[in-house]
Amino acid sequence: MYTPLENLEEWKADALKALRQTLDRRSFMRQGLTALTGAAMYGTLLKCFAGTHVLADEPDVPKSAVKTGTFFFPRLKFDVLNAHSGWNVYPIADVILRRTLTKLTNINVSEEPVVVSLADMKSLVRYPFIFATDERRFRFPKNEEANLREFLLRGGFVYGDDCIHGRNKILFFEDYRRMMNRIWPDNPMRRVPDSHEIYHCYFDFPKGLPYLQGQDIGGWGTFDKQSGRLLTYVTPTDLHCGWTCRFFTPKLNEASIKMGINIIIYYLSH
Amino acid sequence: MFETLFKYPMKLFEEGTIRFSGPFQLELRIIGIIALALVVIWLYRRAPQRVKGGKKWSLAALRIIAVGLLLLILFPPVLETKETKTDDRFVAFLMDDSRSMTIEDASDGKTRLEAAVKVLAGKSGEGADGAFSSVSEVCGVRMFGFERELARIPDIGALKAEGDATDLYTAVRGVDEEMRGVPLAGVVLISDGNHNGRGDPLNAARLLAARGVPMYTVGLGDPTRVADREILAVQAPRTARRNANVDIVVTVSSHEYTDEFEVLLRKGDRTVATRVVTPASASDIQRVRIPLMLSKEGSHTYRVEIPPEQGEKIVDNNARDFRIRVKEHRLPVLYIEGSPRTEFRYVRGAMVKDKDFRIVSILRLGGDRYLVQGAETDPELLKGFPKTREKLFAYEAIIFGDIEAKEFSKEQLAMVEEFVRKRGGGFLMLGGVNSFNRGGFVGTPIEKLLPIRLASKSVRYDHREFRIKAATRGLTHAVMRQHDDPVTNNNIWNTVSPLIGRNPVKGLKPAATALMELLDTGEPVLAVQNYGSGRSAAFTTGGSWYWRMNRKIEDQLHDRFWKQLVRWLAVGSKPKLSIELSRDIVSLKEPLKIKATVLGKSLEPVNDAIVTAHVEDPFGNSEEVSLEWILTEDGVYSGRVRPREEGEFTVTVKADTGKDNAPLEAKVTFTVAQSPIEFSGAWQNEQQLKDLAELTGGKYYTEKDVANLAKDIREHIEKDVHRNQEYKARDLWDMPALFVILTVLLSIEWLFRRRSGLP
Repeated sequence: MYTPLENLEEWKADALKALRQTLDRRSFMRQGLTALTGAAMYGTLLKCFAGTHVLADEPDVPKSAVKTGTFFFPRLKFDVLNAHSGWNVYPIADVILRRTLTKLTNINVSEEPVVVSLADMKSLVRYPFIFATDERRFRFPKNEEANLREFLLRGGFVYGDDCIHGRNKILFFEDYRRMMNRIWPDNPMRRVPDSHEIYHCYFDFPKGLPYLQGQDIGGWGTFDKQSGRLLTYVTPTDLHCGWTCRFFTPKLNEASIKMGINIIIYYLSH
Repeated sequence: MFETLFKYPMKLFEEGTIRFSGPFQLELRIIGIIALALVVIWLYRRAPQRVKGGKKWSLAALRIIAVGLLLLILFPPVLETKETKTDDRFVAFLMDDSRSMTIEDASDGKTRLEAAVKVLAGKSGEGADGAFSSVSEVCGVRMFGFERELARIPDIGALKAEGDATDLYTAVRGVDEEMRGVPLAGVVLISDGNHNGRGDPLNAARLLAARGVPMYTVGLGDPTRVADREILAVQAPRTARRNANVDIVVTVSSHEYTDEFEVLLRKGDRTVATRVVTPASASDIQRVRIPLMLSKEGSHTYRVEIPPEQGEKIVDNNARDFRIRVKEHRLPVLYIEGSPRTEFRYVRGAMVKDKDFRIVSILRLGGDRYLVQGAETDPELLKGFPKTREKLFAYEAIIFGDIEAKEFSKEQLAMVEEFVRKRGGGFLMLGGVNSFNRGGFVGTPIEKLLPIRLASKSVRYDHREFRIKAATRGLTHAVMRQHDDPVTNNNIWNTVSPLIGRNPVKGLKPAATALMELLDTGEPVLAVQNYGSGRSAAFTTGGSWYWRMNRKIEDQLHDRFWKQLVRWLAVGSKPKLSIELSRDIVSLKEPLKIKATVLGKSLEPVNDAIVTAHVEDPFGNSEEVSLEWILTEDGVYSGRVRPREEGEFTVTVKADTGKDNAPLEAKVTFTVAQSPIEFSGAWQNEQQLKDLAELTGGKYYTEKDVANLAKDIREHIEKDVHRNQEYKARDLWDMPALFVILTVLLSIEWLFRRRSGLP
């Protein structure tokens, strides 16, 4: 039943007084700014995923995916030569990729940020998937290289992405290749063909690795001689900067995230 | 003169009695004679009156006597005498012709066969002073040789001691049947008494005892157990998959040898494994477990042997052969996983590298999208789990990863249960946040399959790390073998790195076996059980991948564990046509049973197939055996063959299951070789021989006192004379005296008649 307020003016005055007491001008400005920033970021993210079908065909997104297991997305901490190391550049990229994984796949992804080191084999073996990135030259100590070899042979997987020095220098990529060829001299890194499963296992990339910046020479990998499985995969196109959705066009940002998902699906299924 | 007239000597007439043997009774005969006499009298009363009364009645009397005598001859008369049978009675000699007769433990270091020849033919071997000739003086003799079967032999020289078995039951039963119509005075059994046939010889001897036929048993060989080492038994799987680890369990005995000795597992000339056995006492039996990795497909014959000790008398029992068929086709495994996870990657990876497995995985990526690996071209699998029996039953093992029951229809879950129960496949469920109790499997057919009791659905997946230990029965289980040495194997499992995450369970089902348990509470982590024709397992963790990552690359614990587990699960899976032989190594003439199981398109049993087995001997000669359906078992056909040659035989079974189906064909091989059973426990079984003699009223002899055998048989025959007497009837109708008397009577009567003017 509707009951009209008799003292409406009095009620309005009380409400305004209570509002003034809880919200002064400074806090209003601060909260307003936060809300605007949030809205802007949300808008950017929305743009990231606003329908583009140029680089990859999107599969049906599961509405109520059942999730099992726990997938961690750890970063490899390492030193570069004659410079500040940049292994920890843009952690927001990992956050966005993890959240997108949760949203677009049924993989049970842990939100927990994890950092591992090749020197610490004990903690390394807890995370069979490792992400490594930088833009400088590097060379791991011998024991770390040995650990890396052991880690990969035990079934671990390292995904390396060159953060690109300048606009097109792929120093990290080159050193990564050099290192892998040192570890397996009789099984050098090869370009992963565009028909490889890594480009088709979830999202379809008919033209292979999407190019953002750096060198358009595709992704390279070391293949297991017995099973043909990729032991490690490295990209010279700054994919992870695409995940941040800050530096490239929405189309490229989206393609980079999709390619990131493909790499993880490939790892988990092979 | 008497004998000329009366046909037989006077003594016979003194001892015997004269009787009539014809079909007529005595009264009838008397009536006949009286009737004849009356007829004669009546005829003479009608004679002409010119013949005087006295002469007439004399003639009548003569006629009556002559006709009466003729009637007596016709009745006819016999001389019955009581006589004793001797020379038409027989004694049967049963000679052991089995291989154990070649053992050199008879007197003077002779073989048992040589001792038997000596017993029969005497020291000279010419027979004059032997038991055979001595007995043959008393009565008739028949000689038989026996091993698995009984056969009449012409002489001692026919004995070769090549039989693969000693079947006393068949021998005694056989002689009873062979000599059924013959007066049998006794049976002489010359043997070591080591019966290894099926029946009980005492039962057969009871038949002889019932006939009053005594058995005289002559024991050959040393009755005391000699110092000996022996392979008592070998247990090995008859079929296995390539690269499977199997256990060969050898039971060895050692008597009066206390030093440690070696047990060798050999394949041809190559020694595959060696185990050292230390006897715990002077007479000890031990079981030795020898692990064997089967890396090559095909049929392989192995030999377990103990090198003979210096001076060991019985060495033929030191080795045993066995055969293992290693399946050559790749093991098809279907693995369905609820979502991409690390455990899937590592479990699949363990098998995908191995050529012995053909793993097909269905990885659910969300919604109706599946990533199919191993059978990418199968459009049905792209829609998820197989929906037909034909498709599902093509696999031999099914793995449910972290996936909930809702993913499957009721029919699919029932099919999985049937897959294990009827098809003999293996089923494994892995732990995860959506499996076991959390997956809603309570009340489904899958719950019946599982070897563990599910916790209630509210019990959550425990994400924490936990340590495990090998359960007591797990230590020796084929799935858990990481090292040949049990102690090292135990150490490996006790120090294995922790697992990550598990589904708590209520406990084990009654028929299940825990192989792995929680270190602190003993809750089962890995449990297995047989279910119908197949096997099932529950591994309640989803974190075994850590074993792979936490161990050095050379350490294959993780991969080996997974492959062993899946191989073990799929061991019972049946092909459409499978052949089972009662034994893989048989003796000559030993009946071999061939069983074939025929399954249809959906692996349902087929009962109306035409199934034939072609058995090819080593020389290429083929014998066709029709296999008939066993009414009590669906799809199972059976037949028998009795190999007549030694060597490798091939059995090719062909099954025609109807017009719509292609004919099925499968092959197996078996070997016909000498059996070692003759040398197992091969010292003389004195008690057996004594029992046989005692039961039938005979006597047991050794080589030393066997000289008394003929004397005892003679005494028995003579003592038993009243039982052996018989009445003998001798014909008297053709006695010359009767014809003389008849002729004289009739002549006198005729002369009188002529003189009286009668016709």
